[in-house]
Amino acid sequence: MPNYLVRLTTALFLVMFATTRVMAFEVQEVVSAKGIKAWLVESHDIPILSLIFSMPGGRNFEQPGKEGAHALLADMLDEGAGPYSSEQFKAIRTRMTSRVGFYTNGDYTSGYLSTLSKNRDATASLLQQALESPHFEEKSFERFRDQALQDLAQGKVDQTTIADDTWFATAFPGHIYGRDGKGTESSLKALTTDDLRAVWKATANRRELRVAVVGDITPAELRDLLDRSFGGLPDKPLNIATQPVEMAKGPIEKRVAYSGPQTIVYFGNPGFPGESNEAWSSNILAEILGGQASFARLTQALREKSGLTYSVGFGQYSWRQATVQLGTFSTATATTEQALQKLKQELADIAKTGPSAEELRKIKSYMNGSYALRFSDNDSIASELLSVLQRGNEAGYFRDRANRINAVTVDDVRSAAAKLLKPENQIIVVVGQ
Amino acid sequence: MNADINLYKLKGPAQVSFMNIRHYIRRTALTIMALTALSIEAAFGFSLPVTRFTLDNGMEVIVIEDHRSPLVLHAVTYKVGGADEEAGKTGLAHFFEHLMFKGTKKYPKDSFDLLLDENGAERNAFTTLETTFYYERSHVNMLEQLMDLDADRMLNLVLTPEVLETERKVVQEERRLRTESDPYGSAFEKVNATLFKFHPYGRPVVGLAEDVAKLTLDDAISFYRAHYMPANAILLVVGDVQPENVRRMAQKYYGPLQNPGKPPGSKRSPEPVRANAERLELEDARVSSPAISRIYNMGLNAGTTAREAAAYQVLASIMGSNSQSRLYKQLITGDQLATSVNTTYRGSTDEYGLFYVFGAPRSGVDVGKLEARIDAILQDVKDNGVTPEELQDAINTAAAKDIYARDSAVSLGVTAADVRASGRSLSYIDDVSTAISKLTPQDIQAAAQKVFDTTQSVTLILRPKS
Repeated sequence: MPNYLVRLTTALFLVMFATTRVMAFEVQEVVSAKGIKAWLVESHDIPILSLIFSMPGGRNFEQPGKEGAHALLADMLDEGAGPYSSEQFKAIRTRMTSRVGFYTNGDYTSGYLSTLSKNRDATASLLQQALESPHFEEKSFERFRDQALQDLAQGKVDQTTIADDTWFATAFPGHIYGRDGKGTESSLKALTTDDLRAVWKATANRRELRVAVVGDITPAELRDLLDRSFGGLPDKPLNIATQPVEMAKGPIEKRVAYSGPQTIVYFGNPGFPGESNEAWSSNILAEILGGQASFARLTQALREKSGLTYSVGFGQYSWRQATVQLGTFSTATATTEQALQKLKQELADIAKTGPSAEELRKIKSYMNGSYALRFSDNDSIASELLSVLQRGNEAGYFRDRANRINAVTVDDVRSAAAKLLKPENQIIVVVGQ
Repeated sequence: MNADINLYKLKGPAQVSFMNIRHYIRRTALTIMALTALSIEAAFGFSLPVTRFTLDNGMEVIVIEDHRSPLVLHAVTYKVGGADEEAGKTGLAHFFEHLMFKGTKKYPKDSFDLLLDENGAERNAFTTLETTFYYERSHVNMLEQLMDLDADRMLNLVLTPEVLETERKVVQEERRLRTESDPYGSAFEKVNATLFKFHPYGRPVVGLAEDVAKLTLDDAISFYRAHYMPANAILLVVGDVQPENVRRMAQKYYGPLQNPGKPPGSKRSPEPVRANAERLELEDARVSSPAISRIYNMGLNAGTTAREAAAYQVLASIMGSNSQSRLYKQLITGDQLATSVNTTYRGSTDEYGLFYVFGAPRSGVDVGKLEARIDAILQDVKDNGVTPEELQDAINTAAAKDIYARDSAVSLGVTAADVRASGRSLSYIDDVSTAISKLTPQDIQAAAQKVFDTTQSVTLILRPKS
């Protein structure tokens, strides 16, 4: 998976499947006594439970000189908490065969819990301890700092990471979106456990907590679990930037020298945010160009007809302050210019003429048909629920999604293509020989 | 149609977990999966209804019911993989896998693709050393259509020189991506060639660059005629289905297919028992810190019993699967020598058993020092075994995985197909699971003594370029 997908998608531990027929289950909105909301898909077939959650955080709370702190924060929340040392916490978790952990991605600090039903209360208690009273033990911190420094060093010699970092730094210079949050050598070396405590103090908040739960639990039991797990988090106004951030003006084509048999290309432009018809039009545009359907234009041009790449993808991704459309492919050094030329031709073609009516019909059918595949197992369902919640939707979304897609016309997509894919919006990064 | 329907309570796969593994080790492990196409080891118990039957033409059918969503996985496994290729034709099985998507007279490529795309179906395929697996996932009401498509392409593929040449470029890009552009991809190609100097497991599934460049249309067509036939295939259907309906559809679409001949089998040179351990010390500018990978060749799997397979799995679990495992506790949280460690037993559905040990040192720690400590920890298990508490924890973990695995019927299906392709009975999965619950510390010590025979290992140290 390209790095930008790792950045942009939700939990890494979840398996994402792509399909429509809508779901054979019901999404319930559950609200606890303390007002904590969750979406629940109740399923008692298997005695297991999956819960994932997120709160605004991640790099949004990064202070100058403290870059990388929030990524380490996620590593460290379960390194000792409440009455348990790091060793004890892990031993209890492993003995119960439960998972409790945290990660950071883009705008969010997120976490997950999965457990056998018989260990649900004890596992929720671990989550509560980690959220309310993490230790940030020094010994663990040194280990994770070392790992982060090693990752940083590896990123500097890894072709895909170089392409990823260069694209974002070019598109969002000086903004947190221009950094991937892993910090710098000097910032990582200067961090202390007190810095992590400060970041957690700023982040821990249930004002925009989003929770998705799938599995063997009743609404009443979930209300109790929500209060116990998250009730100790403060509820305070969010103090993070929300104003839209513009991508750098293009056209920009940046070339970075790298010795290897292939070139990696990252290409992107702004997208339209939200759930409006314009946003769905730009989503559909991205699918037509580089989605999973085999007739996607870039797949046809760069793989099927020419054999220039093994794989090309293009998609739309949103954060609180920006929405981008971004794609990538790799190709042999010798075919780099040919592939770039074809890429630019495809972008120019659709910007000029938009999609055909038949193309739009097919992509709608694909997007509606493939949606159901995201609901194949508990973790996948929870992941999709959280994603829909994070975009500010109500539960009616699942019934309404197909209508939103079907409402988009050829003219809508043509208009989106003309606005989004014009040359002055394009940023292309080419890493290779 | 064979009348005997065997009903088993099938068990889920062990989930090979690389959750705690940082970049090198994760990449290493994934590289191994990509290069040698790691088959998921069957293990651990849970019950889902499974039905197996055989059509008159010899095609086996496995049906696993999962009625929670109106979805289906439809897959055909061919019992041919990279290890069945002749020398000089490496990569043919994988290249051919790509060609299977190029259409037939009845369903030319465009209409094949359109049928799947318009229904939102996902499809892909992968080639391993032993099998080639094609699958589609879709709404269950598409199942009959999927059978029609896959039955048709089993015998009626239309290939042209133009199609072959374009796809050759795609495959060459895939090889560059997975092998030449990836330091661990390149390194493990060498490791496998060192582990297996005679047996075809030493050859890359994606093929050597010089071989892929020379494969011809005749090679592809000969390969297709020799290996693609109902008697050499297993149909797997997982999802919201009734076995009797699947049987009726399978009879209608796959039943009439004729075998053009007998599957040829493959002539494989055996790998002689190794006289000494071997080491590969490599440097690459695309890695920034060193790591050690040790692979033990455990020998032929043919005689491996369910109890032995169970012991190998539990040994991997106790040594390096989570934060309570020996290597983790001693090297990561204890001595602070490593940032990541992992041990993996590669299952008994392949011809040879392999056991992997990985370690990445902390900054400033010499990789040789880490290797010495790993060796000492492995030796300790050989000498002194494991504690009853460690074993019980591993058994509990295995039992829990059985329950979690019920949420992943597709993985279960892939395991079932692998087990059958290897010639073992489906009940083998149950046997391993039952054996896990009955293991003793002595079983684990005996497994360690069998596995950790250094003379049968290859060690890779991959360092940054100096």
